Amino acid sequence: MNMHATDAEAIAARGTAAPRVPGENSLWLLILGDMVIYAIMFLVFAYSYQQQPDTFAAGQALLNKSFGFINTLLLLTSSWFVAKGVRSIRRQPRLDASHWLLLALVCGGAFVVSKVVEYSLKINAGMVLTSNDFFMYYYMITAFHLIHVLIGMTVLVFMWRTARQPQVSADDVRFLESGATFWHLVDLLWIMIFPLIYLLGRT
Amino acid sequence: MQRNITAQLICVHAALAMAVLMGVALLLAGWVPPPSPAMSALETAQMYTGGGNKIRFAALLMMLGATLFWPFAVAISIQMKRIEGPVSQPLAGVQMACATGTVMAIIIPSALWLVCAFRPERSAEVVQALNDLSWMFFIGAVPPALIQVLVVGLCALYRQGAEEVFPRWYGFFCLWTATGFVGGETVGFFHTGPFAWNGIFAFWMAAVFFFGWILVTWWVVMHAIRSPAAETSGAVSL
Amino acid sequence: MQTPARDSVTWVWLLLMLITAGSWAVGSHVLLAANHLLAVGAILLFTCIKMHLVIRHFMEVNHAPGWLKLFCSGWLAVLFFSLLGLYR
Repeated sequence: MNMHATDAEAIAARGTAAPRVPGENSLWLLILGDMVIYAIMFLVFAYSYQQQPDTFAAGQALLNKSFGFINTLLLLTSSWFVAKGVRSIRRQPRLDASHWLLLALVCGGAFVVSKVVEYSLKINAGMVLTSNDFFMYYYMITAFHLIHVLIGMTVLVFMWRTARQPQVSADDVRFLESGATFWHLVDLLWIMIFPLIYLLGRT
Repeated sequence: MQRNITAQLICVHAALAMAVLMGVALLLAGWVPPPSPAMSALETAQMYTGGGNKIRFAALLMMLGATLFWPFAVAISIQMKRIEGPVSQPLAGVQMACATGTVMAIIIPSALWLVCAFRPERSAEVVQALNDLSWMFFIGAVPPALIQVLVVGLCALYRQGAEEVFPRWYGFFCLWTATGFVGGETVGFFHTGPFAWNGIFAFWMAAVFFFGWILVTWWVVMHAIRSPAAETSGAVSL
Repeated sequence: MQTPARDSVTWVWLLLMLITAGSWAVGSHVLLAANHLLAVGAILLFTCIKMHLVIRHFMEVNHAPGWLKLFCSGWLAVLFFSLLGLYR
């Protein structure tokens, strides 16, 4: 059987409207599982806020919302880049769409730099992990997310390498979709983290 | 060619014995959840003098349970070797090595609990220091278990043909478990709250994932041992 | 020839950026001081809309089987109502 024809068909099939799970079924155990863990963290945070509203509101007021907004814009844009890249490869597997992934990596890198700057400013101003319960959650939740960003960027590097190949197999596309889904998850979680930690609460 | 199925099954079933022993030990000592890090030195000392033989017995059960993790880890490595092939099996080796870290992270606290309960007249501050040490190991020594679980997941996912040994979902399950373990890393920073050694994330979430991973892995490895495909994917010596 | 079923990503991205930039411009602390419950509801609503867009369009759950759509929508609903209840 001609591998290229089968591959091309398989890749093209992923662009049709028939219901299918992006990436592979098993990946979603990780994606949905992670979403559940984060949801628990969000609710524990929100509950703790109500237990100590003054401490939390005071801590929140010390945060710089601009970092949060910029980080949201960065991740949304990187998600768009990844989505464009994967769709391009699906439609035209022979075209080199790896630049989209590189752009996504640049955005991810900018996010990391922004986080490092934000943490450094806070730490220098004396707001550290052990300052109070608000800052405990601030660092723990955003750092847990940052670890996911770093893992996601590692995956993006492998995706970039895969995309640069002259021949992209159906298995490769499956990997690219899985990696893309993980990156979108990273974006998704930040969309919730930002208002939760920086905005919502008593003023 | 000898497959040593019975020996492999004995090794994998050690997982169940381990889970039961560890669970019974914690319940016996009254440590579900663990005692609060916010307790004073006096309260800590009283916990050991009050707990007496229950704590001593619990420590013994815990030590035995921890040791049974080793044969379980061997059973896991044997399946990983089927995936990695005959030339070299680095991931299987790393799993085994990290398993030793996980075992020691449980055996050492068990010995410390024996020490804490050994001389009731000991100064309260010394008891508290030893108690702190025990929980820093038991809950806080996450890295060996973290890498262990990650390496198994990696082995299940990145190799072609791994599916005949480990189903794909199991690889992703290992990655998810690793996420659930991370909560225990920061026990050294907090005396109270969800990230303290008795907290929601450091204890409850990590414990659920740890025992869940043991049971799921027991199931997956047992099926891999028994599968007919195991006959053709050669045995490699440890 | 397969359908260009998934080329809405750019529009979705623009919408997401707009909502984000818009909320930055308006300023949540002003809203929260004015009418707390309404502001909390609005912030949560727009946050969930953004997450829904990412899930359905970027993550392609729009084209996924029903169980996956249900789980994701359920996840959003649990977060929306729980957080609304906690912050009201």
